[in-house]
Amino acid sequence: MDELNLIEKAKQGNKSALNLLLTENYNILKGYIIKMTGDPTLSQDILQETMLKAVLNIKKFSPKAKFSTWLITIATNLYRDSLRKNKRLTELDENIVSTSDNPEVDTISKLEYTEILQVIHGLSYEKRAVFILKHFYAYSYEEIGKILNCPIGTVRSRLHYSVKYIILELERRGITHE
Amino acid sequence: MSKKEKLINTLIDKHYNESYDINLLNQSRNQEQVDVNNNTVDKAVDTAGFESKMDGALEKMDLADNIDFNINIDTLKIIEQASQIQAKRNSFKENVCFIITSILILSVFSVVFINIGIKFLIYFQLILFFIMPWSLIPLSKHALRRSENE
Repeated sequence: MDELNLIEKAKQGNKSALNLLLTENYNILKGYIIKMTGDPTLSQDILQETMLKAVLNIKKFSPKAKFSTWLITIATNLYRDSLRKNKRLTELDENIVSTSDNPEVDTISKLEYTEILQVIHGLSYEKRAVFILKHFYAYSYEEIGKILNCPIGTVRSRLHYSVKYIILELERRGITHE
Repeated sequence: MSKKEKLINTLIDKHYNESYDINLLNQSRNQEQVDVNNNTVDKAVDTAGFESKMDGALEKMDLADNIDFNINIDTLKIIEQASQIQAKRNSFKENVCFIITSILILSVFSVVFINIGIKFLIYFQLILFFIMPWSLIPLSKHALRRSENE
């Protein structure tokens, strides 16, 4: 069943359609939130809150954009609110889930993942959001502007800054070489 | 903004398939060729060099796609939670409506009672006495239909 049909059914109160919509977009949303927050507890909270908000407001959703884009917009707003309320310190390395059976490879990749997350988190949340949406989800400048509620020129300059920062930071950390 | 900065920004836009100033890029490549021919390479912006550096760095960033935390969320549970919240909100709205309507009716009654006096109560009771039994017919029909649907 296509997304439009599911959305229509979900709007009429069909719980299984709503559940299918959420499960189909779960991984995209989870990946985005993990990259944005870098914190497992905060990720869990925002993921849960985003889905709850989406279910409560499904009737207000107009399918001009993709459902995943709407979820990402909600998640971004919730994350911004949580940043305003409190600042958390994160212990990144301990919480990353292993994908390898080899402990040595596991340790190396955990270190690498932690460094990558640290580089992303060196950016302010606005720049981080632009970079993540562009680099990992290939959204256009216009779509990012709509998600973050800012002009295209701002999105463009934030991305330029982020990419330059990442190149320099990776070189500084010795992850890539000049 | 310097020409070098503009060129770097153009290369970033190009990398992400966004619209970019192709003339600026061509001009720069031509200039690079001139510099190579004149042995003044140091002055030029090495576009190919920057592009490969950028590709390398952004490729490294792709590792972030493999990062995962132990997060488990039951979507059905969230839907149930949302229904409960919705029900609570609805009952709150109904209560507010009930209170406002009651206050309005009582206020109208008070105003009419003050203006007309005791006669009003007698008229009101007579109306109730004749109309209420008739209103039970459509009400009971409605209740029957509702129970049939359920």
